[in-house]
Amino acid sequence: MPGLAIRLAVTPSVYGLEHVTEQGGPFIFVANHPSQLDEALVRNALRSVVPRLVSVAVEPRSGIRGLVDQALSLRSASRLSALLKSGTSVLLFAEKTRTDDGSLAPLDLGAAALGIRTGVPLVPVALLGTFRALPPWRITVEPGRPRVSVLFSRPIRAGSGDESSAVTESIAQAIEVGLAEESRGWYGARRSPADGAVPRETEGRPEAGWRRMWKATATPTGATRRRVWQ
Amino acid sequence: MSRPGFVLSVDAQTPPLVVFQGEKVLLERLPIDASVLYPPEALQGIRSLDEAIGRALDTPVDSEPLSALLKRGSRVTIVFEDLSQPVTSRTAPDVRQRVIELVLERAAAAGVDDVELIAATGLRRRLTAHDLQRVLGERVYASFAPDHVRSHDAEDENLEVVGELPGGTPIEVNARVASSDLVISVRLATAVGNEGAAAVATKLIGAKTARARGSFAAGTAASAASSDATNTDAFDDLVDTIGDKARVFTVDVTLTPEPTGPASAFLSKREREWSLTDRALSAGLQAATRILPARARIGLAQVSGVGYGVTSVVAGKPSSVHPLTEAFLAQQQVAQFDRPADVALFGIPNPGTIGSSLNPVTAAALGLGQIFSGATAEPVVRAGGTAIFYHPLTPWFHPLHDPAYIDFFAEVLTQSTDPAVISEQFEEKFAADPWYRHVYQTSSSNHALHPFHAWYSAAPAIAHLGDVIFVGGDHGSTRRLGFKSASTLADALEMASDSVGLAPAITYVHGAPVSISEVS
Amino acid sequence: MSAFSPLEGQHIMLTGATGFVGQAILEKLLADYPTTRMTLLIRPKGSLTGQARLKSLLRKPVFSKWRERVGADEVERAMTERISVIESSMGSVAGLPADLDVLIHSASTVSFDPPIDEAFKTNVGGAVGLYEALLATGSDPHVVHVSTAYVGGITKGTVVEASLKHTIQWRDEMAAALAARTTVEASSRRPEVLRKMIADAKLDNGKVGPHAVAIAAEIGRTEWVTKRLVDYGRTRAQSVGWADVYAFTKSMSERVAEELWADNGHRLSVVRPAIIESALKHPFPGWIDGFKVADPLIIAYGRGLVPEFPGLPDSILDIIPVDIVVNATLAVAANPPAPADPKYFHLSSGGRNPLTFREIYENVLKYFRANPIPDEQRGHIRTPYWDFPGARAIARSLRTGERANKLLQRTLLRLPSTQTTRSFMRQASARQTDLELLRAYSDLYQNYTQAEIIYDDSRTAALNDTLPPDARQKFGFDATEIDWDNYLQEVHFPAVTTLMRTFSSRPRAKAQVDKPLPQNPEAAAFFDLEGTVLASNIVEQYLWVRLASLDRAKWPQELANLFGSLPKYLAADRRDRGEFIRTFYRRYEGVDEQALRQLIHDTVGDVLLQRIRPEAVRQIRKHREAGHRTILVTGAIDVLVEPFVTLFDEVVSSHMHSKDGIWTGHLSKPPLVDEARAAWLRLYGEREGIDLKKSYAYGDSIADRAWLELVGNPQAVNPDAALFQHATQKHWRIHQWSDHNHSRFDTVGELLRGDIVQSASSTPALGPSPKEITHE
Repeated sequence: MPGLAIRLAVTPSVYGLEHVTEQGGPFIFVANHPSQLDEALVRNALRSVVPRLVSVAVEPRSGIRGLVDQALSLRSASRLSALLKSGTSVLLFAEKTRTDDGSLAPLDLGAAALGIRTGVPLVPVALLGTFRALPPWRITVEPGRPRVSVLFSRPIRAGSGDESSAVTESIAQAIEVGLAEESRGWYGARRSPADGAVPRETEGRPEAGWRRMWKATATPTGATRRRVWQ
Repeated sequence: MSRPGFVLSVDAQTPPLVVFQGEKVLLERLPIDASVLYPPEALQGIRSLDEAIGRALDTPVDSEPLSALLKRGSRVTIVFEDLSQPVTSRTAPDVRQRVIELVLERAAAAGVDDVELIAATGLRRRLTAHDLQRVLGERVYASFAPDHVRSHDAEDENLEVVGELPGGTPIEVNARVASSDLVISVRLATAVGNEGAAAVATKLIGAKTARARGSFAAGTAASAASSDATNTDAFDDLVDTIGDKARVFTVDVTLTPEPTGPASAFLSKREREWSLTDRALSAGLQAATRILPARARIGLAQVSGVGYGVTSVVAGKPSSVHPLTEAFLAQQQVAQFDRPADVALFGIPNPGTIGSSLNPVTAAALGLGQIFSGATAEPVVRAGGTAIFYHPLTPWFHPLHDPAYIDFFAEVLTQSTDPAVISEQFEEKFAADPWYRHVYQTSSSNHALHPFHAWYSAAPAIAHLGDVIFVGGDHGSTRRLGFKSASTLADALEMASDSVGLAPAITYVHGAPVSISEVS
Repeated sequence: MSAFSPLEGQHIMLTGATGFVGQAILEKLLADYPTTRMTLLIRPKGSLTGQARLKSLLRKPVFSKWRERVGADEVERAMTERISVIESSMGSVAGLPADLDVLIHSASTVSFDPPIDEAFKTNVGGAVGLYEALLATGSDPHVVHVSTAYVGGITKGTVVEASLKHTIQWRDEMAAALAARTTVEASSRRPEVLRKMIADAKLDNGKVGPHAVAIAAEIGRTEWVTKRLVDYGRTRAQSVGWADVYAFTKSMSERVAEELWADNGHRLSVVRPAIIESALKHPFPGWIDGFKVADPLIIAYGRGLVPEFPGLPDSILDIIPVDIVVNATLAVAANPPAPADPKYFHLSSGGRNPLTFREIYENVLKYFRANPIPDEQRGHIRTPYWDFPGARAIARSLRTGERANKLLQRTLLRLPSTQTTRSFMRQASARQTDLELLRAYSDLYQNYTQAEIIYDDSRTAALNDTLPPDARQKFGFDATEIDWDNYLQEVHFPAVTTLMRTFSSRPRAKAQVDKPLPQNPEAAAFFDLEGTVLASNIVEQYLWVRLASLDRAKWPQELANLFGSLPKYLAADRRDRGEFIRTFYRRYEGVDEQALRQLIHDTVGDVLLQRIRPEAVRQIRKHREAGHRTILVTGAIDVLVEPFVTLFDEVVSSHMHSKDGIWTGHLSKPPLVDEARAAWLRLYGEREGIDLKKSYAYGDSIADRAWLELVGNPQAVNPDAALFQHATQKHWRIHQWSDHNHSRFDTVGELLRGDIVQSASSTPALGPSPKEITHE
């Protein structure tokens, strides 16, 4: 989807882009993947900063796109390394599976490994609101230009000495912090881990499936404008 | 690499030079043999700002790393510069936001809950929610708004006394700051004399203290230098700690102007080095300023402006950091010149804030402020010489920010322009006026004393100079301020010839006066 | 003293001594008839007694030469010994002296177009009263009845010096005239008439309030009555052959004199002067008492106000200098006719020394080209050339001009008031004055400038011939010896223009300097909010609040809705302020008061504050410094007024009725506008001990008139056209405070930014600027 279509369909907000612009590319962007909207959204956010970007999902894609992926052997680590060396950035949707409510599933270690192997900075990306805007059962985006956010975290540099599981953990942590911003605010999301409190929205959820789904698709509270006329 | 500033002597081949005049940009041909002081070319900005800030926070000067100072349960206040320092970019986040985000991330990691952000406004206007968002970013703002991010209120009833001025007036500062365990001060500076006093407390004092400190009598009773010294003495104790327990940790950032787009880059280049494109753009800009109405020109100024790059970030103990910052800024100064000129020329651009221009009082104070604390260490013009400024001095006042200025201009300056008289007759009345206090506290108006301090700040320059002439100045308001207006440079030089003769030594201080030091 | 001494030792009674001719006769008697005694019939005026009026009369310029000559003592002596005063008004004359030798009756109304009953009461009733009183004394003085040449009526050719030939009965006419007042008064109270009066009054005063409408309607009715009676008079006069009611009643009073006096076997002379103008020689050349018949036209011409004039260039304008009239009258008085055989004398110039209208025009042109009247800013006024296109063409262009101007004024009154419309308004009302003047002149002079009548004055000439040659210098009255060119150029025009200059050289209102307001703890300053303190109105306030609480996507819909309803609101506003406010406030139905308060506190308050006029703030401060209580009185809703409350000592505003914190769209009390505010103000002044006469009130619209009038110092701030008109008339102080300092586009921009403030996740549309050399 071109940028214009994205802006017509949703109201995107992009934060933390300065972390990316100040460093020379390429980058490995590691994002959560709640919706079909995600790739286009990230591309749109990065269009002026990172012009060359290929995206890969850990979970194989189906249909023609899957075939294309295969043809380009995009799913092979060596191919991706080569692309990164040539200056092309990579957007990885690194979740092992797709959750049914858009929350974050455990990440594949491949992303971290790629970062360690190539030394290219890893940029965790949290995507907010895309599940709500385009849940899997819908074909078109919700009307009314729902708000979606793309949050870029500080790049993580991994070197040869790093453990891929630890790197993956810090990527997941960064994405979780990003996702938590929606409910706790920017500072709150960063503050919570210090208490050892559960920042992970993905862990230990006691709720029934329908309640999670209900929560995930609920319109965010906080009216856009103050309502004066009832 | 940056080039040092240099002095150009105008000859027959010198092209017309860029002069800012309010919202306009002129190309002026200067008389042969006039000197042009070019500022040094911009230092290369730091590319990876996160790293630079992070390094500064983690390896501060004469202090433990910031993370070590932040403790769970401590009371932390972050004090940041208001809009008297430029917003550094149109598109990217402001430097204040970058610093504060990193500071807050460390605070969050340390589990600090009691955090408050205060804009160090002194007597200037409150920042609106919109301003705060520009400076802090939406996310930081949203995290603390509305109760934990605000502007300093000099009329607050709950101020805390932390010392005493030489005259016996107690020094009252912001209570939240004085009661904090750690005060993190985020300071920006663009030029020497622009980084403010060493003590951040000077921008957080109450109106009474500010009045006693900034009063005209205090400035003239002793000589300027010694009064500075006494003031500094009074605030010396407040540099590293404010009150009994508030420890100050400072983050000093120095800025350099940096062209932001192709449309305006040529303005900061040296005219001799203009390319064909630059010339075309300049011609276009000239034509546009001629035909556009004033309001649209203000928009034009926004497009044709400059942004700011960061040249250094130093953090740590204020008394140790401040001299480092000062020394660093000194490098950016204009090259030395041989001797002060008879006539100095300055352009005064308007700030590009939407829909605003400089009110005449501020514009005059800013222009005259450059005589002593401009881009050069010594005044470029000799005592008794003439200063020629380019500014329209349109009697325009911002309806929200300037109510005290409007009345100062309409009621005070019509009676007298003598600071001593003004201070004697009007200061008390303005300071006590409930309406000014009301709009200062609830809307976004500058404090009632603000115009007075602005005017006092111009006093030494007026005393130093023989004539002050504004080229293109509105006749009425120029006269009211006690200056002369000329329609062209030639007219202005003609007027000046009475005091400086027919063949004066002329110096033009080239380029936008980078940033203008705060007036209060 | 020459041997010739007529009226030696006689007792002369004079009526109308304060009039133009009366003054001149009195002066002549005092100056040149040292042995005559005078009794003056003077009407007390207000608190001035007859004697007091005499005293001030003798100070007038006409007596200046005489006073100079004889000295103060002699003046004093003459006043006590030679003159006695009888206080009376015409119609009830009591106690006339019985030893009169001569009575000169020169009292009459000077107006050409008075209501018919007034004309008859003064001119006919006055004569009746006088002659009946005179008959009652049983004495037999010689009565000189001063009439006018125009009693001859509308005719052509020569009019001879004889009794008027007509059969009109003055008693019937008098009765009819007096009855006309009753009839007209009665018919003016018919509902059809009154309805129209009310409608007219509403049109102009509807916004001021019902009380003002009533007052205006009643004034309209009295004016209507007067106009009708004037019409009665003029039409009746014309129907029986006179040009106007003045000539008509004067001719009736001649009949009265003939019937009551001459027919009772007494001596009667009637003098009929034409148009009396300034003195040729005595008491000094050019003496004149105020503008006479032809003078306003001369002045208007000199001012360039009369581009063309209806009049026949060859018609004769019969002018006669006042000293000739005086001398002739006294000569007539000294030569009584036989009893019961009244004699008639024309005092005119047209018979033997005619002056045509063309000659006058040429003289006037010549005079003003040589001595132009200075214009206020632009040098001198150049007088126009006339080419006498005829009455019809002029009447047509006059009518067109009047209509166009009326339309312009009507339109201006409806347009929103700006600096430009106010200046148009000023021009239009100046033009209206000009047109009214022109209309009045062309109506008035038509009879004189189109007259083709010659008044034969052979009897007067014969009387003049009886004077001994050496007495002619002092007592002569030969109209043929007037050199018109000399008289007009050297005597009359200079006299008239000097008079005009003394009128117009009153000190012009200087640019008002702001003096400090007088200290007075009992005074108050009342301010209106919208349009006065704020450069905004309640529609605009609503718009900002509404837009700030709506998503941008819904703005166009809201704006369309608001603009769509504007005609409705404008119409309501034109009828009644209160109605407009009520209608408009329905839009606030469903507002959550708490949310609105919060919104105003956060964003909209600043938007409203931007509209405040700095001059207003300064003025309020000045009042406070002077110890005045400052009070804001407004029809706006209290919540919206919140940001300004601290400016004032007291704020009185509207309050919306609410149910469970939600506004119902109704006001809880009637809005304090127009006369409701006036009533409130009166009550407030009483209750709080405020001295309203020493107080100040600031308003901007005609709807504020009623309460502005209540205080001693009403001030109009950027007034709308109607208030501007009113304020100018009443010499109220008019302030021009600065209008929009901040453009509305910027306000919209700020509201858009307000959008961002509240929805913390959209990219700023209007970002910060690059070159932020901020000093804020």
